[in-house]
Order: sequence, then C-alpha cells, then structure tokens
Amino acid sequence: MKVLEVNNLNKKFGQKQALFDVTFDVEPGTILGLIGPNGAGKSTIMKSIVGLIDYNNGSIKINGESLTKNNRKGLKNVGSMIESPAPYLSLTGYQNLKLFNDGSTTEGEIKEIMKDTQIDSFCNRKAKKYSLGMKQRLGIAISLLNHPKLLILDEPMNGLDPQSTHDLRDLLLKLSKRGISVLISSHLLDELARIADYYVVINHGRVVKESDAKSFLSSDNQNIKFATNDTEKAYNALVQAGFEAKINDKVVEIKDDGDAMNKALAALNNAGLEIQDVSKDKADLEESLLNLLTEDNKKEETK
Amino acid sequence: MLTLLRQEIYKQIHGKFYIGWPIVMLLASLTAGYFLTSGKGNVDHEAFAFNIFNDNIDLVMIAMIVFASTIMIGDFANNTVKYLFSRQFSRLQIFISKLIVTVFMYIYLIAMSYIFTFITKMIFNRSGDMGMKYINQNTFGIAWLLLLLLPMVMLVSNIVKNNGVAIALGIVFFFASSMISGFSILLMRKWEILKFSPFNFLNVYNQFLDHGTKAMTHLSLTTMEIGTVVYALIFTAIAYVIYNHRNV
Repeated sequence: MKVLEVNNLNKKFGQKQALFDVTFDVEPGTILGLIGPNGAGKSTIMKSIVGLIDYNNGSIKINGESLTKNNRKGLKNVGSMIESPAPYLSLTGYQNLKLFNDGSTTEGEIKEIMKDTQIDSFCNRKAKKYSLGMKQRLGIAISLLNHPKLLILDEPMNGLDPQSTHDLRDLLLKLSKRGISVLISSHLLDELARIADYYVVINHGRVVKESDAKSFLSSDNQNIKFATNDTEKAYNALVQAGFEAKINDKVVEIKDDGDAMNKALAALNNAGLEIQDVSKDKADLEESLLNLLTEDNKKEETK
Repeated sequence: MLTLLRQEIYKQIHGKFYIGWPIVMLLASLTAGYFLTSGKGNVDHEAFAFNIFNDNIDLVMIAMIVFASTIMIGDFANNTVKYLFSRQFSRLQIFISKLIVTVFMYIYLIAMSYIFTFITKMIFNRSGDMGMKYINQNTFGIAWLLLLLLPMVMLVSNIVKNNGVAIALGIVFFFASSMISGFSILLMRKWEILKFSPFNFLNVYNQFLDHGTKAMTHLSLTTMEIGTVVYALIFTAIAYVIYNHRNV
C-alpha cells in the first residue's frame, strides 16, 4: 500500500490558481524530493496534505485512509515540519517533546529521538533561547514523535550548519531504511541528491516531472565532451551525424541521449579525427532541474 | 480529545498565567483587606468578605477575557498552530478542548477567589459571618455574564486575528457594560426590539443580583438567561466557523 497518494489536487487562493491537478504518490520506505523554484507550490502541497489549508478539488490518501476536513485519522502516523519550526518558546525543548507526544512515545524513545536529532545537549533550555538551527532540530525531533510512517519536511536543512546537515541526511536515510517514508523539499539540491529516491518537480503549480533519481539525472541532462585535433571539423561531423553540438573552450559538447557516445565516436572516426579526450558531465541535480524548468518556462510562454 | 485536553492543560501548567494571576489576586485581596480595616470607622463584617470577593471577581473577569482570547488565537500568533492543526484531530475537537480548558480556568480562578477571600478575612477580620450567600450569588451572576462575554471575546479574537485587540475590546465591554447597556436602554425607548440585542443581555449579571433591573432591560430574568445562552451558542458557533476555515 502506498503511504501517500495525492490525486488531482487543485488549490486556488482567491482568483489565483496555485495548484493544477497535482498527482503523485510516495512508496513505503522511500524518500521523495519535492523540488521547484520559490512560489512553485511545494509548501502549498505540503500544507494541503497535513490540513493546514483547504484544497478545492482532488483527494489525498495516507496509508489508504482518505483525508477530509473531518476525517483526519490518516494523520495519526504523519510527522511534519512545514516552513519553519515553531515550538512553544516558553517551554524547554524537552517540554515541547512531552507536549506533542500523544502518549504513544515512551520516555526511552523520546531520549532516543533527542539523541538522533542531537538536541539532548540543550533540551533543558527554553526554546526562546535557541538559534534557528537548534529550533530546526527541535522541529525535526517533534515530527519524529508518535511513530510516524510518513515524514513531511519542508526545507528541514534551513539554518543547519554543514555537520548538522550531514547528520540530518544520515538520520533520514536511517529512517528510510526502517521503513519510514519521507516527503522532503529543499533548496539544497546537492543534499537532496544524496538521499532522494524519487523526485517530483513542481513549477507554476503543476507537476512538471516525476521520476526516480537515476532517470532524473540521466542522459538527457548530461553532456559528452570531445577534445579532438580539429574542433571545427569535429563540430561539423557531429552536426552532420544529427547531434545538437556546441563548441565550448576547444571542446565539442553534445547531449547524451543514452546511445550518443557510440554514434558520436563513430562519426568522429569516420571524419578521420584524432580523439584526444572524451569526458562526461557528472550528474547534477541543480543543472537537471534548471534545464527542466527552462524548458517548462519556455512552454508556458508559448502557450 | 483527552490528548488535546492533556496538552492544553500541560501548556497552562508550564505557563505563568495560572500561577501569576492568582498571586496578583492574593496581593489585591490583602491590600484591600488592609485598607478596609485600617480606617477608624466600623467595619461591616458581612460586607468585608463580599467586598474582598468582589475585587477578586473583577480580576477573574479580566483574567478570563485575556485567557479566552489568548487560548483561542495565541497559537496563531506564535505559529505553533501548525503543529496543532497538522495532526489527527479535527478543528472541532481542538476548539472544544480549548472551551473546556477555559471552563477549567474559570473554576480554578473562582476557587482561588474563595480561598483568598477566606485568607484575607482570617487575617484582617475574623469576626462576623463570611456572607457566603451573597458571595455565591455573585459567583453565579458573574458566570452568566462570562457566558455571554467570553464567546464575544473569542469571536472578536477570531475575526481580528489579534488577541491584543480582542482583550482590549473584552475589557472595554466589561467595564463599559453599564454605559453600553445605558445606551441600549435609551435606544430601546425608541426601538423596543433592541431589548433583544446582545448588549442588553450584558445586564444579566446586574439582573441576577437585583431583579429590579427588569425595569431597565424590559425582560424577565428567565428570558435574560435564555437569551444569554442563545447568544453564547451563536457567538461560539460563528467563532468556530471562522476558526475552522482559517488557513495557516
């Protein structure tokens, strides 16, 4: 059974349509990265799932249980941190955890959560004295209470130092191995690329792409670079072979469509060129995303 | 629901309000007790406890207005509402839990008023009766007024989304209720129908203590009580509808 199913979700703010038929799902024990530019609708989707805002059409199911305004049982096993952490500032970190524990998390488990999120060293201080990073960690700790099967984390790495970001990444991977699913949004795409199993790209309130991490970073977003003894001739040979080529600093680049390497090598050999170096771009989530968004924005403009 | 109640109570216990306000009430009682007995004139023994209790009741009223407004929208102001609304509980359950805790707080503060009145009497004026009959009557009278006033405060809090404004309006309603009802009575001479306006029902406390107030309100005490309940339900229902539809 899928942990989360979002079907044809639509949301309007006044006259402005914020979400258009957003559909995706989350499998058990996987990490799904929700990515897109600011204002794309990521937080709106997350807020709709946890019931912070009403949506206009569509449906949301958590562990097969339909979520409605009055039936919120599905949220019992959902931990979330939306936008920024907001603990009770007059309470200590530990008191915040006690407060949000619905009784199902034992004292030992609370201590384990505090250790996992590394708040144990300051959990007896009032939350109003916390830095942003400390509040962020407390927010994540709160979301881990009550045995969640799904974690919804909106920009959880904001305000965290490199070490804490690294630790959070490890924690999320550990949780995922334990069977907990994670829906996460982050602008730190390098970090996301290290943990996400799937991506859903949102732009202008629409799902632009939904794919597993490997496919997303694959061929069509990568370039193959050829250094030869005659750059101009190599460029012409590749264009004649049907490639969209470009010259970049005495190197000819083509897009890798999966089969491009062999075809391009054949074309260059046939042209009698001496191939001095061949290299492939490293898969880059940021570049893949930017390419995708650029294409999507072009499509939007031509509509 | 029990989880929500436990959490609301947990927040109150770890807050300063439930301990800070009674300290203010105790100090006010002791100060009033001192001044009432330090004069050279005779002390009216029965009125002593009643006066002390009355001072406490005024503070309970202010406390309840602040409390009702804060419990209703404090979570919005602090953004903690995100944790509250993103769980398995419906907003109706959350709303009801807040109403119940408000009632608990009223009972707690009234109990404190009795205790402080007793302590003050023991310290400053041991002779004479406590005048429990009048004190109890006052307790019920104020409960009727709060039944109308607190839903008004909760409604205003939810509309203006600002507990400062709601508290200010609530306190104005409380202290200006006699002035407002005076206006209301003037207008009622011209438009009799205005006797059913909620402002006229703010006199329920006065009429509960002094049945002669009927001449002003043009309504019997029973009608005043029924009207108070009806308006309380209407205001609470509207406050809930607004609460239920608020986006975070």
